[in-house]
Amino acid sequence: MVEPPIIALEHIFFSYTEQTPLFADICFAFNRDDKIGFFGPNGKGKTTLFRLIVGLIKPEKGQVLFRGVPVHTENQWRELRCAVGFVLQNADDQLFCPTVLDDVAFGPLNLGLAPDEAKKRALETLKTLGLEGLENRLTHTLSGGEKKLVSLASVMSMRPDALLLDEPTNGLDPEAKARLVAILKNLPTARITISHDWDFLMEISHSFMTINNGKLIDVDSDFFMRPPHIY
Amino acid sequence: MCDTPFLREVPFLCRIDPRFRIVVATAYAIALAAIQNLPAACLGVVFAFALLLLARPNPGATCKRLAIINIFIVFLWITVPLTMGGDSIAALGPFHVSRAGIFLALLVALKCNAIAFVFIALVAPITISVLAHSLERLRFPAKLVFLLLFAYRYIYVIEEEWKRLYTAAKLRGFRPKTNVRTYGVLANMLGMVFVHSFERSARVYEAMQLRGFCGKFRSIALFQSRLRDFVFTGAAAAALGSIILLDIFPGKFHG
Repeated sequence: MVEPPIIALEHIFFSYTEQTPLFADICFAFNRDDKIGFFGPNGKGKTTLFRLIVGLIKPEKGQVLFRGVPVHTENQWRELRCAVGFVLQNADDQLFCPTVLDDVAFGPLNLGLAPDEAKKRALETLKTLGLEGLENRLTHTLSGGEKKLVSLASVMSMRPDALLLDEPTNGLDPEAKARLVAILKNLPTARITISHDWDFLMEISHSFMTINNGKLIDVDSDFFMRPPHIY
Repeated sequence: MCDTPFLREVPFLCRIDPRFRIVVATAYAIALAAIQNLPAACLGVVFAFALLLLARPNPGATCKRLAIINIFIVFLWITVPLTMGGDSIAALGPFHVSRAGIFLALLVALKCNAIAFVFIALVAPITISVLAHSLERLRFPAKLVFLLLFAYRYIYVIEEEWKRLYTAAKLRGFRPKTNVRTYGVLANMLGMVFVHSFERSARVYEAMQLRGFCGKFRSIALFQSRLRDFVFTGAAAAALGSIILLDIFPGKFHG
């Protein structure tokens, strides 16, 4: 039997205002090994698509399937959110605990791990991401790059099946960006990455998509090599 | 804006379980606030000062903080002796300096400083994160603990936001003056800070939901009470007991 996609969107319609529908009949499957680069102009609904996937907003029509099952109840959404980690664009929104360790252990504790296991898991995650030594730092004293990486750690510590990364390189200097690329390249977790940085997207993704007239469009990687492209 | 000069744990007192320190400091504050006699208050100051010496906080920061507290006490010294009534021991023009007033001002000054000593020694060196988790373990209402944690986390973000707006205004030539326009501009900026904070709170709540939050805050902090915690608390209880006894039975000390 074929494994159902982690997430499938079926005939999704969504709009913020009546005149301009953001999504019109979107169908999309996100599989276990997908590493998708997602680009497109501002205001076309990239972040909104992520928010629809994790149920922070609900579509007007259509449904979200998690491992082949339509998601309806809040408990199902919670299960989905624990399996699909969403790393927010603004790390200050993501890191709400006073110390790094508290923050990285927050997810595992919500998964029901005992405090010492959660702590162990948090320390392991920090180590995997090369962030050991940061655990006792106060989150508000971290640099912008550290905040980004810690917010990735705070999601990775839940061992998600898939990641949704919303502009992870925003505000990072080349050095921090290179570090993030190295981390993501070694990460087997399926992911969709929103970015305006093509070089970055090319390095960490296997397939690409964009959004046009309310539809998702697959784009092959030659697209980037073909100057001048539309964006 | 929110400096934390006392976050420096030193040997001995830092090894006492924070829960015990919080309980001792609270008990001390309540008992000292209630006592009525000078000898008991003096003994309270002596014990509190001994704790302060043990904790060895940063002297500059301690003096600064005590100075701030004592500014309020100065106002009591100015007003209470002149308005209390009772026997007068001196006259300043139409005002009479009352003996009872001086006694009361002295009592308040001693009690207030003693409580400040205890809190600087025992509670100020605890980091906010540990403080919040200790309060949680002491069955403090969860909502208040959240409030403490989030206030601490986001006060810096809000401060930065305020500075950013202020810089943006300065870059366009804004100079605060004492006039209606300045107040208007400052009010607008403050309003923006509130709006941004409100929006941020919605985003933070979403971020919590995304990581499986369902209303219950769990914590990785593990507290273990050891023998020394009980010894410390026992000694503190004995000191407190002697202060209370001296207050109830002042005996020959009573003036």
